[in-house]
Amino acid sequence: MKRFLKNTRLVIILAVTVLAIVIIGVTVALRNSQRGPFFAQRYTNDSTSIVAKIVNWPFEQVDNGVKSVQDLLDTYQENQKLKEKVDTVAATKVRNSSLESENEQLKKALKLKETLTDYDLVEANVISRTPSSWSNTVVIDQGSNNGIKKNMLVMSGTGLIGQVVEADSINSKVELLTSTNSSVNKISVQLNADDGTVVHGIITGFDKKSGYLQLSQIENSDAIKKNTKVYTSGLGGEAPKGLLVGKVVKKSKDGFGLSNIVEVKPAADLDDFDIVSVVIKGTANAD
Amino acid sequence: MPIRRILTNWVIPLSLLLAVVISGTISLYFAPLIHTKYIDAGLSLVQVGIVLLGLNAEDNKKLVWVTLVLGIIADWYYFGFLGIYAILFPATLFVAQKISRFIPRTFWAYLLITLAILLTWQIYMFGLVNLFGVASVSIETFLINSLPATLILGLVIYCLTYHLWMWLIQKYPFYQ
Repeated sequence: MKRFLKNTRLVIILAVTVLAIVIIGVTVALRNSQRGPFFAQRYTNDSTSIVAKIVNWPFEQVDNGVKSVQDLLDTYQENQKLKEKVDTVAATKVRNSSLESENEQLKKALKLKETLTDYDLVEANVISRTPSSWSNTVVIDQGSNNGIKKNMLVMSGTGLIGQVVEADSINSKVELLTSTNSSVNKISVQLNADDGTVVHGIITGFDKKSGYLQLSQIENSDAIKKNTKVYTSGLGGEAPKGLLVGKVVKKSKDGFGLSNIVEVKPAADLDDFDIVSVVIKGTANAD
Repeated sequence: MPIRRILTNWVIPLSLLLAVVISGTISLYFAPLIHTKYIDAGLSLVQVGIVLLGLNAEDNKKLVWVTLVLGIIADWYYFGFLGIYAILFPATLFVAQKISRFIPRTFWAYLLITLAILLTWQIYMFGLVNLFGVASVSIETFLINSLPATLILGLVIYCLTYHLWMWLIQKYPFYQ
């Protein structure tokens, strides 16, 4: 023992390792149990996000310029496609507004103030992404001052991309669906099977090679067909019902051949997005 | 001018803080290139700066506190918990300071030390994040997709920023 303690290098390495394990263990547990960060952390994160916004500005301008040129090059083809869709969009809009008013009347008749499908969106710019290879977290420029809370879902375009894991005053952290972090909440989803039944499951992983999300805890995967759309189920926490996650591409069994795995192609591009929408549950149409 | 002297002393810490923030911005805008199906590269801009700082300011003990504060800021901002950069940054500086007297002061010697330190930390982090479930990275993914890409990107960052870091370190030493 004396000889070991005299070996200063070994003692330092061991002490640093133990220190790292203790600090990570305690602070990860704190992050998962608390509703929000404590004052010093919140203040530091808000100040850093202001610097990040300033640093981001020139990058954003260049990125916007490049994207504008790309959009300009694609304009003709897009215009042709959109022309074909215009007529159907107008008809769908009329139908949607009549369904919305019917929905409102039915809710009033049933004395429902809000349902699982009610939500508002808060638009946010992505300002940073974790520079490490194993973490898939982004920082957005809206926080608890704008009504954002931990566990709220985040969309990009038409699809789900992740959930808020920490909300500071003027910025928040979003853990992407591509993350392999097992300590964050799992998102509950549902699919409408061909036989009319609703099948429930949860998003449990992401296969990097295929680029597909993995759903598990599915009771009846036989009823699910390819291209079936997957939506959030609204069960639990801050997640509303009906947000598009993606489309079914494959069904399989897990490594032991016991539980069903459904692979889903995400509706959103999970690697390339600048603007996101945070979904605030239960505020739209609420009295 | 005392204010000017104070500002001169704080150029290095402020540059490192800026590097912490820029790392997140570069990671965001270059995500389609560095986070693909086959590649998952980490950005080591700050680590490269700290290694060069340690190798060139081996007697400056105050720098450990600078890197500790910087590590806490980076951990809170990017992860929301402590223990990754808050350990990695001061330890990187400490190791670089300790080995600086044994190596020649050349571009290539510094490059080898930087890559060796990056390699050690990648392995160390791989163990820690898997242990706590903060990420579940398989050894295959780590060895094939992540580690080589991170080291190659580290090499590129080193070559691109070497002269800038050396100029800052030599022109604006921190309270020496």
